[in-house]
Amino acid sequence: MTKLSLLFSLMTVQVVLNGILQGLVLALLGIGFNIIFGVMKFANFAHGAICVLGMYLVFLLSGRFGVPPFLAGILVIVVLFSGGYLFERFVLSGWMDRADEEMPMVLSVGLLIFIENVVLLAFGADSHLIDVPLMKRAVVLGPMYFRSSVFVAAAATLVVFIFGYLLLMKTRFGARIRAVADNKTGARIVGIRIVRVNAMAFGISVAFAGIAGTCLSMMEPFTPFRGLGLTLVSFVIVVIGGMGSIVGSLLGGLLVGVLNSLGQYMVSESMSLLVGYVFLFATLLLRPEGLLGKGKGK
Amino acid sequence: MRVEGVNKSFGGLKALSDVSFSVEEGSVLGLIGPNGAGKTTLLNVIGGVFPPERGVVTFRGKRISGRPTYEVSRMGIARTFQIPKPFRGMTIAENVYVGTFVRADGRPPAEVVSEVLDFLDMSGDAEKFPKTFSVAARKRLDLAKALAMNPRLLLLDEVMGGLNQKETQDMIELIRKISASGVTIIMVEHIMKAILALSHRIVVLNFGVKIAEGSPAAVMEDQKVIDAYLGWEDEDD
Amino acid sequence: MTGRMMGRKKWAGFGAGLLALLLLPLLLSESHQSTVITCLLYIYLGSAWNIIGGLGKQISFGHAAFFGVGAYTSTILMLEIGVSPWIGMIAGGGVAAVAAILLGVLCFRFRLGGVYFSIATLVFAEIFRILAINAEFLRKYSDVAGGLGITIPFRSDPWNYQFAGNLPYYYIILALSAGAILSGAAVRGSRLGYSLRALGDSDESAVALGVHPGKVKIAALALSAFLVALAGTFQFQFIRYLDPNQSFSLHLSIIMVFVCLIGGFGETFGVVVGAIFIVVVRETITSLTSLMGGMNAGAVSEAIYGACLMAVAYFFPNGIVSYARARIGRAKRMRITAAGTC
Repeated sequence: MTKLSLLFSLMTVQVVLNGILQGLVLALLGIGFNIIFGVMKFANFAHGAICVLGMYLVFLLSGRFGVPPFLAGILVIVVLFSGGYLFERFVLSGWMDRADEEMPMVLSVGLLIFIENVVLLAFGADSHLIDVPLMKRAVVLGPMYFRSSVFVAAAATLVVFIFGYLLLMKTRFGARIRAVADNKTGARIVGIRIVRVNAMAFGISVAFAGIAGTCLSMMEPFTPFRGLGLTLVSFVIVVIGGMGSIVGSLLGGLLVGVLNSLGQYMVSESMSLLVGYVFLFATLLLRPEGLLGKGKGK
Repeated sequence: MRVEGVNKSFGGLKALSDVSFSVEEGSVLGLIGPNGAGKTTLLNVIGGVFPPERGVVTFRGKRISGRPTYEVSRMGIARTFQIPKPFRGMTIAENVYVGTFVRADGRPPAEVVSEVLDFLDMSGDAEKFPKTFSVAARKRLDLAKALAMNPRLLLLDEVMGGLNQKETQDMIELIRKISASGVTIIMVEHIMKAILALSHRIVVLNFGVKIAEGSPAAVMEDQKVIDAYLGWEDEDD
Repeated sequence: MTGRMMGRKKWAGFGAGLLALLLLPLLLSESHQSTVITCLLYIYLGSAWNIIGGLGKQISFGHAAFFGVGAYTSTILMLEIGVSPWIGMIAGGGVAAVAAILLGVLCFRFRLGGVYFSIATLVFAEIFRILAINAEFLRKYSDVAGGLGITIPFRSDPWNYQFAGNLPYYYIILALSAGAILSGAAVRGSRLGYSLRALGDSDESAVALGVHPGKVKIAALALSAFLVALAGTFQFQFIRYLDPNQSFSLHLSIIMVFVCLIGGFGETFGVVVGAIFIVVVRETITSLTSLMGGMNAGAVSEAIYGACLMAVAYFFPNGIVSYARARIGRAKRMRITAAGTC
C-alpha cells in the first residue's frame, strides 16, 4: 500500500471514530425522544430546541458566569429535568387526554419556533463552541488527534447510557415506565400512577436532551438554528433504530453519527444531513418498524 | 360464505382455534358464546381487520381472509360495531351517504339515503348530529350505514346490546325484514331471545373453539352447550 | 344535503367580499397593495393546505417543499429551456403532485400513524432545501457573490408572466385565492372530502364502508401539493427572487398550518381569518420594532408566532371552530330557555 492510501484510510478511520463519538451523543438525544414518544405517544418536535437550549444555558453559565463547563452541564441537567417534570405534571397532564390528536404536535412545533427565536434574540446568531479549560490537551492515538473534551463528553454519554439502561430494564421504576409505554390501560388497572410516570418520563427525556446538548456544545460549534436539525436527527434515529427500542436507538445514533461524519468529510455539511434523511425514507419504505422495533406504528 | 380452520392468536393468547363452519346465502347465522370466546375476533377476521394465522375464509367462492377491510367491503360485506362508531362531524344523512360510496348500481345517493332512513324509521333525524343520540339510535345509525352499502352479507356485532324490551323487539323485526330482502346475516349476540327468534342456524364458541353447530333447537339441547351455558350464566347481564 | 357546496348566506358573503376586493387595490398605496397580496397568498396557501391538513387531519409541516418545487420547476424550465412560466407553473404543479404521491405512498402504507407523516413532511422539505442549496448548476443564475438566490431582470412581458406594477399580480392572486376557496368548498362536498372526514372521525367505520385510506389521503395530498406549487411560481414571478432558505423554509410551512389552525381545520372561510391575523401581527411587530430600533423584527414576530401556536393549541385543544360552535350553541339554548320560562 502506498503511503497516500494509508494516510487516506487513517483519515477515514479518524472520521469514523469521530462519527462514533458524536453518534453516541446523538443516540442519547434519540433515546430522549423515544422515551416521550413511547410512554406518552407524543412526538415532541421541540426536542432538538430543548437540546439547543441546554447548549446555550451551558454557554451562559460558563461564559458569562465563569462556571466550569461540566458543572454548568450538571446544573443545566437538573434545571431541565425539573422543568420538564413540572411542565408535564402541571401543564400537559390533563390537557393531553382532552386534546385532539394533532394538537400536541402543533404545540411542540410552536415551542420549537419559540425557543429557537428567543435564543436567537438573546444570544445572537453567531456560532459558539464551549471551551473546556482543563482539557486543552489533545488525545493522541497513533497518528490521530482527538480533542479530549470530545472524549470526555462521549464517555459521559456512555455512562448515562449504562445508567439509563439499568434503570429502565432492571429496576421497578423502569418496569413501570415500560408498562405504561406498552399498554396504558393495563398499567392503570394494575395501579401504576400514569401521571407520575409521564412526568418522570418527560423529565428524563428533557434531561437527556440537556446532556446531549452539553456534550454537543463541546464537540461542535452551535447556532440557534440547530434545533430543527436536531429534532429531525432524533426522529431519524428513532425510526431507523425502531420505536421503543433503546438498543435500537443506540445503533441508530451510531449509524447516523458515522454517516454525518463521513458525509461532512467527503461532501459538504448540509449534504451529510441529507444522507440521514434519505435513510429515514429508505427505512419507511423497506422496514417501517426499524431495525429492532416492536410492531408497526399505529 | 365458508370459514375453514381459522386460527388467530394475540401474543400468547389463542383467540380462535380451528374454527370452521359455513353459512348459506340468504340465511341468518347466530354466533354465540361467553365473553372472550372469540366472537368479535372472528367477525374481525371475516371483516378483514386482521388476517388469521392459519385458515381461510371464502365468500361466494373467493378468498377474503387476509384482504384489507376496504376490499372486503367492496365485495359486499358490511358490518356494525359493538361500540357504535358514528362520524361525529356529520349529520345522520351524511353518515349514511358515506355508506353509498361502494355501491355499483349507479342509483343517486340521495335516493338511497332517504330509502335507508325510511326503512329504519330515522327520516326525521336526517339533519341531526350523532352526538345527540342514544346508544340504541347509534346502533341503528351503524345499521343504516351498513345497509346503504347494499351488502350481500351483513355482520352484526351485538346490535341488541343495551336496548330495552321494546327496542329489542323493534330490532328483531328490522333484522327479519333485512333477512327477508335476501341479505345473508351473521349475528353475534348475547340476547338469547333474539338469537332464537332469528337464526336459521347457530354456531357456539367457547374459548376460541367451536363447540356446537346446528339448528337452534338442536344447539339448545346440546349437553356441551348447556354445560358451557351454565358456566357462563353468571356473566350474562 | 350533500350536493350543496355552501349555504346561501356564505355565498352572499363570499360574493360581497370578492367585489370589495376587486376595488380595494385602487384605494391603496403600493406597499399596502403588497401587504394585501401577501394576505391573499396566505389565504390561497391555507386553502390548499386545508385539503390534506384540515379535512384530512394529516398535519403537514413541510408543505413549503411543494411551494419551492413549483417555483424551482418553472424557473429552471424558463432559464434553461425558455419555457413560459405560465406553462412552467402547470409543470411545477405536476412535479409537486408526483412528489406528493411518492411521499404519500411511503407514509400512508401500513396505516402508519399520522405522526410519522408529520415528521416525514418536515424531513421532506429539508431534503429539497439541502438539494437546492447544493445544486451547482443553479449558481450561474445568482447575482449575489457565492450566493444561492436566483434573480431575473425585470421585463414587462405578460406572456412570460411578468407585469409592471402590483395590480396585475394582485388580480392574479385574487383569482387564485377565490379559486382555492371554491376548490376547498368543492372538495369538502365531494366524495373525497367526505371520505377524508370520515377517516378522521372514525377510521374503523370508514374503512368498513369501503373507504380506501391510502388512496384517499394520497389523492388529497397530491391535490394540495399541486395547488401550493402554483403559488410558488406566482411568488417568484412577483418578487423575482428565489432562495432555497426561503422557499423551502419551515417558516413558510408553519404559516400554512397557522392560518388553518386559527381559522379552524377544514373550515372553508376560516383561512381568511387566519391570514388576516398573521398579516396584522406581522405588520404590528414591524412597526413596533422599527420604533424601538435595532431589534430583529423577524425573530420577534417568529417568536410570537410560536407563542401563538402554543396558545391556540393549548387553549383550544379541539379546534377553535368546535369551541366557537359550542359557545354559540350554549348561548342559543340559554336564549331559548329564557324565552320559555317567562
